[in-house]
Amino acid sequence: MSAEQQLLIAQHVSLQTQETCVLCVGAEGTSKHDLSLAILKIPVKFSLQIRTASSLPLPEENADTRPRIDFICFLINMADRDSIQVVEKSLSLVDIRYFLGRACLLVGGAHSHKRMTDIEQVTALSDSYNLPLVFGDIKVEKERDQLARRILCMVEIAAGFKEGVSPSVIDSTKYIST
Amino acid sequence: MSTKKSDRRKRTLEEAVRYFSKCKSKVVVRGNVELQMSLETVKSAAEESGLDPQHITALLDAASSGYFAQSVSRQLIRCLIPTSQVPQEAVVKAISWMSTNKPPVAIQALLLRWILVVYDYIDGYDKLHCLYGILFLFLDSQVMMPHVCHLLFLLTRKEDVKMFRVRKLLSLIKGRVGAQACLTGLLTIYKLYYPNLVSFALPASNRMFFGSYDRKWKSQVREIVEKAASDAQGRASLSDSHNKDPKELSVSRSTQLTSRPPPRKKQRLEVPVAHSSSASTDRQETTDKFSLSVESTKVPFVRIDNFVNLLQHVEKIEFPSQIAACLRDPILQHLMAYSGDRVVTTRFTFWLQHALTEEFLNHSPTNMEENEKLLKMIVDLTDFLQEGVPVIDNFLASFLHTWNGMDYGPFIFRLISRCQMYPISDLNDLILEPLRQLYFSSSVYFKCQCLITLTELLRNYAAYECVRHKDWTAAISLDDPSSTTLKSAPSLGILFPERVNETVQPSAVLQHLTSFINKLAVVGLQAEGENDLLLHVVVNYISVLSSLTEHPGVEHIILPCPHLVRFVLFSNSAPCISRMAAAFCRYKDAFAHIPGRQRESVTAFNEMLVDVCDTLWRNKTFSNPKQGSLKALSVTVVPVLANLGVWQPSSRFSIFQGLAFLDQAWNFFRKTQPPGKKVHPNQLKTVKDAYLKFLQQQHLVGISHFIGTFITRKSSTHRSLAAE
Repeated sequence: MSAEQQLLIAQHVSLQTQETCVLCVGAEGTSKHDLSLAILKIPVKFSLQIRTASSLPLPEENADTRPRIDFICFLINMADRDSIQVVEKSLSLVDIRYFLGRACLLVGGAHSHKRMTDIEQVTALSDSYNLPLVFGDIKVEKERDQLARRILCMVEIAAGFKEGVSPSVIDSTKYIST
Repeated sequence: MSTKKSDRRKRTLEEAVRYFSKCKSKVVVRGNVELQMSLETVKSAAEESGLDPQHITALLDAASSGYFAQSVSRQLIRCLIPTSQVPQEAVVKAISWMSTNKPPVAIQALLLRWILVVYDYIDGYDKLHCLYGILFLFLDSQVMMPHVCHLLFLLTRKEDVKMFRVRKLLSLIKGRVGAQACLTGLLTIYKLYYPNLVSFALPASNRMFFGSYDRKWKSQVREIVEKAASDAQGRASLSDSHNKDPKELSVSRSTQLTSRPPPRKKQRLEVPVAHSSSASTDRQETTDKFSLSVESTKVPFVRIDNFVNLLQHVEKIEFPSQIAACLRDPILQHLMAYSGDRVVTTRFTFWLQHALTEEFLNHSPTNMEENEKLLKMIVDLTDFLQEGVPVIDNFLASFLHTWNGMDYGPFIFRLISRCQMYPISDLNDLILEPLRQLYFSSSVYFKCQCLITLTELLRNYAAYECVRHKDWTAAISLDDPSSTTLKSAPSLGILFPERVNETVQPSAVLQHLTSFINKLAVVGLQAEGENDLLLHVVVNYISVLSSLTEHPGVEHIILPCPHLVRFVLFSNSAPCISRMAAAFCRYKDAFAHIPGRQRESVTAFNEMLVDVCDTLWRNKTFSNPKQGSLKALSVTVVPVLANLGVWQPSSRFSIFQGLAFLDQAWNFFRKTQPPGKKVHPNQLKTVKDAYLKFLQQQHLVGISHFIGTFITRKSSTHRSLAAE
């Protein structure tokens, strides 16, 4: 197992620290920095760090000082075919425990006339990794704020700051066909 | 100053048009300054305020005469933007020019596209409709085929469907061009009119038949017409606002439409006004002798201008050629609901499918206001019909899948609550799962809206869809199952019967939907820390559940889950507890009235009832050894409460000592006791009746009703009179 892969192993979240770190992974042009800034603007009760990466694996330098990552947000722009490939590749390097409510897939440009990727492709990706889909356009200010809040909401649950609610509780509300 | 300027522009436009119409031989483009200047003038005039009818006719003649180079003709046709109306004469001329084969094929196709772009603004359709047969011949050209199909689709009336045309279309489909969407689209409308003529099995998909080619062009035309209309209205209101007869303001629809004024302001132009292809003349008696109209007994819809009129002619009204007009026309809605005509509803479905896909799914939203207006009209229509429309459900499914949880929120929620009944697995995939994903990552307001919508959906299912489904299955089992009786559909109140699915079991759907809402509500309350607003929404849901059996279609009593009841019971909100108590009383009535009640639901209800009685009245919250579900909790809860220093936890949630009722207790003492006297909520136990009366005055009616219904006060054992 390489050093990069080890980095992405989910660790048990300790409630005492109240520190979280979110990783945003997306190719160029997915506005991940805008999103990160929008998230940081929202006041929260815990300390929040956001790191961005244009693809996984993460570089080896600084690996020892990097904090534990609680939540990964993958970004796709449907108008850009490369962005989905980057995410597809990166997903294969992520520890399986992240897919139990500690990751999400943010999809931009779903209604854009310039879209290059099929919605089916995105849905298939989300189905195979059990990634919740979040749609919205980061470039529109109102939507960006809303997106940031939605991601924060998921981070809060994933990091265990909501009492009595965990990702698996939420998963249990899914309808299971008999 | 400005009027002078516009005068000058008008003159030069006049000159430019004259220049184009006087050319009667091939014109050189290169170095032709006059041509360039005229072209520029026409272009700028058209883009600014559109062209008058006579200019349109003249320019169309010039563009299609073939004297000008193709590039010039192309630009000219693109400029043919009407100020308000396109004369029918011009459209007829365009088709005649196409028939002469003088203009090259590319220009012919462009002319067709122009007709499609301005179709809703043509001032009459009778002559154009006479050319139906001619248009049909253009199907042979592969370039023009999609546009011809679309135009024919819009023009087709019942008498146009002829065997030879069907054969032609079938041979095209089987021949070199293959089954193209546009051809199948045209065939579908033929099949609707005469199913016996088209034996070809058509793909039963709801996709779009006609791709949109000229979106930009169309919106440009729309903008200019809208602008001109609002300008004209502005001018009119300025000039004669003070001497206007109020009677004049309410022009009846028929006169409005026969004179065809510019469309009223603020109306969505994509939803056309009703006009009928055979309704061109008011003096039909005189023209009937000469016209070839087959259905002269029909009354065109445009002549119907009020409800009384509608009732008089209801059997012989011809539907307008713009079926989508019923979105804005209440009389037409009545007519459509009454007639239950399959052709009409299918045409409407096609239109809606096209419009919704175009405006919401294929493109990023450009004009939110317009789209909101369209959604509003659709919501109003579904409210009127009290029935879900399958095409809207399809749209919702694809829209929800990529919804950001914000755009058009209120309308989308309204439409969801009107959704038809589907088997639960389908319902889950189409509506519930996308909503669930949004629910857990959104704010508490969204959660509330979501729960309200789902409650409303549940109520809608219980009130309408269950009954509808029952009637439908009864009708089918009565009739021969092979001849699915579409005729009887409207009498059952089903306008869109294609989706009534016999495999759906209404009671199972209700049960599953309830358990889904239960889960969302419980986890939502936990995540939001028992937000007050959410709590009220949940209580509302419980009271809707309790009165579901009032609807005749519902046979089983459905209970909320015990967790939800406990959430409310231990909350800090007295109104919520009171409303839940009232819901329990309704449950008791429901159990009394429903025949053949189920054993397990009675036991479950009693269990919950004992919990509530123990907690609110009997001070036995965690200490009832025999009944109730709370005893099981006591192992974990009581030590925690003891650690916190809570004394006698079993009486801490009653209406006397509970935190939720603390302010009521205090108010009661303040009202009844002299100021300065030391009081304790414990003392309330001695004046129970007065306190209950006081609670009633404070609008907490549910509490006293609950106590009166379920508690026998006189006996010392306090046995509950459960529903059994």
